[in-house]
Amino acid sequence: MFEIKNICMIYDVDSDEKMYALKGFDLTLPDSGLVGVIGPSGSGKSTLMYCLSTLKKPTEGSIVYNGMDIASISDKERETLRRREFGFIFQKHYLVPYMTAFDNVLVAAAKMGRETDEKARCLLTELGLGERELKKKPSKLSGGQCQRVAIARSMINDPKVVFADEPTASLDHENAFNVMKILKDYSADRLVLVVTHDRSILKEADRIIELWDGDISGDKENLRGNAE
Amino acid sequence: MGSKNEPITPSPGVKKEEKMKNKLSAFKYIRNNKKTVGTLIVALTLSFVTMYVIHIMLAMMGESIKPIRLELPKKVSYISVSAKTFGVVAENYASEEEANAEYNRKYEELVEALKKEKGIEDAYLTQVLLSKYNAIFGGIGFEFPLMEPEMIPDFLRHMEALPMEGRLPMYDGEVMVDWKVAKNQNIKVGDWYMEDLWGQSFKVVGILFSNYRISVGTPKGYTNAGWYVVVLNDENTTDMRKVLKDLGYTLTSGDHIIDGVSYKQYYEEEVATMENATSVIFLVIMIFLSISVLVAYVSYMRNRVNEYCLYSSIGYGRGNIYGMMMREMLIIMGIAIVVGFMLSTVASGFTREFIAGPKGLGSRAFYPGTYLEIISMYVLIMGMLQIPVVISINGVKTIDAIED
Repeated sequence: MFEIKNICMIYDVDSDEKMYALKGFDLTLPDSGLVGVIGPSGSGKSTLMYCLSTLKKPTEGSIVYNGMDIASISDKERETLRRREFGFIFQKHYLVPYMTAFDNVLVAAAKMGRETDEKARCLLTELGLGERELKKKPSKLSGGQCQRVAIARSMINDPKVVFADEPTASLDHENAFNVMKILKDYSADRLVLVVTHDRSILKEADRIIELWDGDISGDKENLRGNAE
Repeated sequence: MGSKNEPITPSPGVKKEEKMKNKLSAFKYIRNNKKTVGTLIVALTLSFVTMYVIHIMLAMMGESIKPIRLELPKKVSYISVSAKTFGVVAENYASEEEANAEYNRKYEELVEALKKEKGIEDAYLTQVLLSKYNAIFGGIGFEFPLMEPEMIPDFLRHMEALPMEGRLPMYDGEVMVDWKVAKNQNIKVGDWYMEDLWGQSFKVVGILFSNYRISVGTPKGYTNAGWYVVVLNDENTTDMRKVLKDLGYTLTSGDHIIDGVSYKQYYEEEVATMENATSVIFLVIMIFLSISVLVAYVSYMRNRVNEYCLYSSIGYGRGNIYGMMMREMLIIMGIAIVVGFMLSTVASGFTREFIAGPKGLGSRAFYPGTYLEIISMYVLIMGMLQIPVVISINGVKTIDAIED
């Protein structure tokens, strides 16, 4: 699905002391599976995710997604790609505070209509939110419930790729486990890329890529994840 | 597989066959933020109503004085000519009495000459009383004649005025007042009306109905504004300067002519003053309103930065976000204008019924020009709001920038 060649991301590119967030490496990602990207703060894992999801443009290198170099497409095409094919779960859930859980899911929908409404309802229900929670605003939901709404929002368009940045950062152990289970289930026929510094949540991952100082320091199949 | 150097055709997945939903709903914010939106709508609506009501109040002056300034001269004019115009120079006479006698004789000549003019029914030399007519803001003075009781019926007939209440003036120092002037001055039959320059008051003995706000009375010795030739003219003969010129008089600075021309000039000046006052008030309200709306809107957008960043991150373009903001603004402005229009109409009826009516003032219910003026101001405010909106839109980032 993703063919990454010599990806390089330099912050302060015009300054004398350039800061390399990604140091030019190659990487290939499959069409499906739960892929974890792990590394300490500043290792470049979030930058990698943002580059893959078209939120950032790499300074150098190419990112080919389904035969298209997404590093060189127009802003409009990047937006379309994000709407249609990618789903996002951010570290903070970024729910719209005045909208209900239900509307927060629909806001990302690429289509409108009864079918989409039904799908949003199903997603939220499957993620464990009751009918009453659907009508609640984020301020009335727990952290775990908010994150589930964010997950439902990321899945409303049936994206081919879900990018999750520290999806369990604000959750307790039980909720973190539940969220990872949902992502694991979704990754059966889609690609789910989880960026984290917490190795414990990647027990079920199919593959774990370790980043260190902007470069890949480890890339291994997770036998346990594959076995399950 | 593609690379940076090999141009790649975008995957068909990106430009899909199905049309994508690009509109961000404007109603969701409005529906879910009733307090914030409501406050903005109430502020805009109240400003609308305030501006309209202020205009009505100020316009009452113009509406009320229209019958006096523009209609009354079609029926009656007043001419006061100086001795200089008559060529009477005191030094040329043995005594002051002799000069005065000549001055009065010249006046008699003028009256006789005027009576013969086409378009003039009658003319006579009599005293006039300077009366008042007050609007909500400001007021005007206007003259009415004091004459012998036996002349009054003919005068009223000429003025198409009908007694409504009381009787005609019969004795010295009595007046019969137009019904609207009576309301305006809060007087009724039996009251004392108008102190003249020498502190003399006039007894109200009757109320008149007329379309010209005319009053009439009997003199009480020497009174008020002095002696004038009262000219009962028709509507085609309202320029007394021209009439006098045709009669061979060369007017001088000491003459005082109250006719269609001078009253029209007064009217235009008075209306211009009112319009200037309205413009200044509108401008002040607009400045305050613009600043308030601008400040409110900027803080409202600041509160929503994360929301805009989310939209941008999940694939909505800046145009979509701008469109949503504009639709929200249009809905808010639209509601404020519609509600403002309705409330203004109600307030206008209320003002006519409870302020203009009891004070004997004229007013109109509907001023389309003012509505358009206020709506234009709101459009202008929307135009000004484009500055913070565009700045805000250009500052919208994706969530990665916030997380960085």
